[in-house]
Amino acid sequence: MAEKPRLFLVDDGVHYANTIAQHMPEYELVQVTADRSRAADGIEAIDYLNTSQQHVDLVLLDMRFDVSEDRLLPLPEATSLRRQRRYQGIAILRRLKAEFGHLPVVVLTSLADLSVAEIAVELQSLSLTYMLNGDDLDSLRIRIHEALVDAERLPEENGIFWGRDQAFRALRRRMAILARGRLPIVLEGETGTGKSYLAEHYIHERSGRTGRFVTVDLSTLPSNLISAHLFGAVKGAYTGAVSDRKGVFEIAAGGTVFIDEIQNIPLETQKQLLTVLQNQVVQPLGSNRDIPVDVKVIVASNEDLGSAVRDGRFRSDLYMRLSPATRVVLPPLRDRVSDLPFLARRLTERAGFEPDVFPFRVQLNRSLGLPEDSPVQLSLPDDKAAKEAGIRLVLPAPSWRRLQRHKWSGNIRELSMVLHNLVTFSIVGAVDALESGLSLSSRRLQVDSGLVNQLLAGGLEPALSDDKAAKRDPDVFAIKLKPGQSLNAVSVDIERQYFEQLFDQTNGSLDAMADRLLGDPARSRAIRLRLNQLGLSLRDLRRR
Amino acid sequence: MMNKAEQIELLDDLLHDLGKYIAFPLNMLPSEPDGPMFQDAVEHALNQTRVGAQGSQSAKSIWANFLNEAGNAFDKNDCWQPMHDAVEAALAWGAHLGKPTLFISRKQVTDDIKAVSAAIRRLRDQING
Repeated sequence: MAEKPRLFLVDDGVHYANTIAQHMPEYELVQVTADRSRAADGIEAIDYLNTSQQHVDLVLLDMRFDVSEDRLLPLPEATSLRRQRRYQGIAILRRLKAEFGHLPVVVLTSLADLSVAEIAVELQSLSLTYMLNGDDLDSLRIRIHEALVDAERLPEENGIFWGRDQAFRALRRRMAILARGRLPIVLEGETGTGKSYLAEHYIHERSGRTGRFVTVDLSTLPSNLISAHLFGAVKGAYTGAVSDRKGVFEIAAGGTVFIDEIQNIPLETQKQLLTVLQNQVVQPLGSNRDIPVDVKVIVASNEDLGSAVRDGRFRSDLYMRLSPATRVVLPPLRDRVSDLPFLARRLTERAGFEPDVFPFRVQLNRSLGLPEDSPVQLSLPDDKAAKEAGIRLVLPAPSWRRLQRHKWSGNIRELSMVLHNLVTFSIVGAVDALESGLSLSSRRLQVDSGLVNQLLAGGLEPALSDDKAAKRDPDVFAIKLKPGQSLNAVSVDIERQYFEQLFDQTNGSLDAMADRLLGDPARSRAIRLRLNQLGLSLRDLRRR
Repeated sequence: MMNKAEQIELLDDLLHDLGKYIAFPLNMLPSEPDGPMFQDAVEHALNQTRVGAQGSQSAKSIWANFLNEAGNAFDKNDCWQPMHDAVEAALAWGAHLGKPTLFISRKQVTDDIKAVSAAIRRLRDQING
């Protein structure tokens, strides 16, 4: 029989300890002192976790601590000692999150004993979802079970980096539940937090729907075509409608429609979308025929839709119909610092398999006598000696600190690009050294601290070129020359890099790209066509 | 004279110390407790309501301390008297501890004890507006 999960209780009172001991024999409480199976305050809890060798599976944390002042952890926003005691659990929670981010925490509070509005805001900002709605035994059991199951899940699944951060992992459960329901789902999060990927590869896959997953990115559609794109149109409905066309709601019948950048939807289209959501029918432009639709709707926004409602840019009835209750806010990377080591390692390994790095990695592996398919791994300052499977990029401590302190406004996408460049430069640099006659015997490659600084300070262009003009002039782009099979392949690669950088510079606006290149923002269709010809999909561009 | 913020603070403390903990042992009972188990839970609910670093406090003493501190601060609030009655109704079951009537009336006992928290919250909400 497997060992019982070990619960670490942080509580100044005896009630929970007694209850668990009496009614939950399936769990074992960690013995903190000879006569206590609980830590009586935050200081004792942190000390224990830092010094004890005992394994802990989960922390149960009370919220209020009636202990002496010298045993309280600081809580800057508490305006009185009374409030510091009342919300002491928050101070402890912050320390646990900062120092033991991998440990699941169940907060033992209830709607009955606290000023709910205040506490709920704080817990939600930490994205913890374990506030009990009552103190009944079964709900506590379920919370503990869910948290333990979550903690055991793999940190990576189907290309999604859940990591070990409890807050982000809790979202997984929430999204899995919402996926099966009929309500629309609202995904909010900064750019690069993975909204579209999660919509397709997590929510849609768990929805049980057999129809297609169809994406509509409202930021790339001319506003006058959005209605036709969403709901379809009959021949002659508007200039250029030379034949009937199906809208995405019809195309995705039985599946999922993902509407990205929903905050860009014109007000007049919002009314139509509201009608579709209410009545489950679409009426193509120029037609009075109702077509029943059965689709799961997921919308995404990189801004708070509530504030768009307050600004009058978004209809409140549509907002309510989209159901704020199903809102999932994806945390920015800077709030998942405990996951940074895991993410950095995995993204480094993945970068080694990117097509532009792959041949150099194989060449280097061969030169070092390693199997050709050995991965590239990242070695961090605190790493204990690990089994080395392939080339190891050794990141100096100051560079690692720099990565940890960085704001990551582009989130995982930005981290991925930085690591991709680190891997590229390190591997290509080593291959260059080999080709110039140097002999390498170690599989450990020191990452250039200067390169890390450059990548974090100025984006990618300065790192790819020393040309200072690239930093100043928005019309100057840095192109990295790569050998191709033919001049045509070289030319395509240059143009591809050029479009990728312009795409980034214009924040992905095809209108702005058309304006810059062709002097006419209305010619975004030509830009889209060219991107297609170059094999650049909008989705991939955004995911980078 | 107590201001609104002080009244809220006082009621929040009561919600925690009395509202939460008087119901705690009953909330944690299995769905079909036997007689001794139920007696034990009510005994704990009323007599060892709050057990922490400062020792053990009964529901009666928590309530007495609250009344002492509150004075007549809540007299003008509509929800004060119902809250007062709810707490007194819960405390009154203390007289039945150890008697068969307690288990026979277990639904009423449970309802009365669990009603304390809701009654305090109603007064708090009224003051908070």
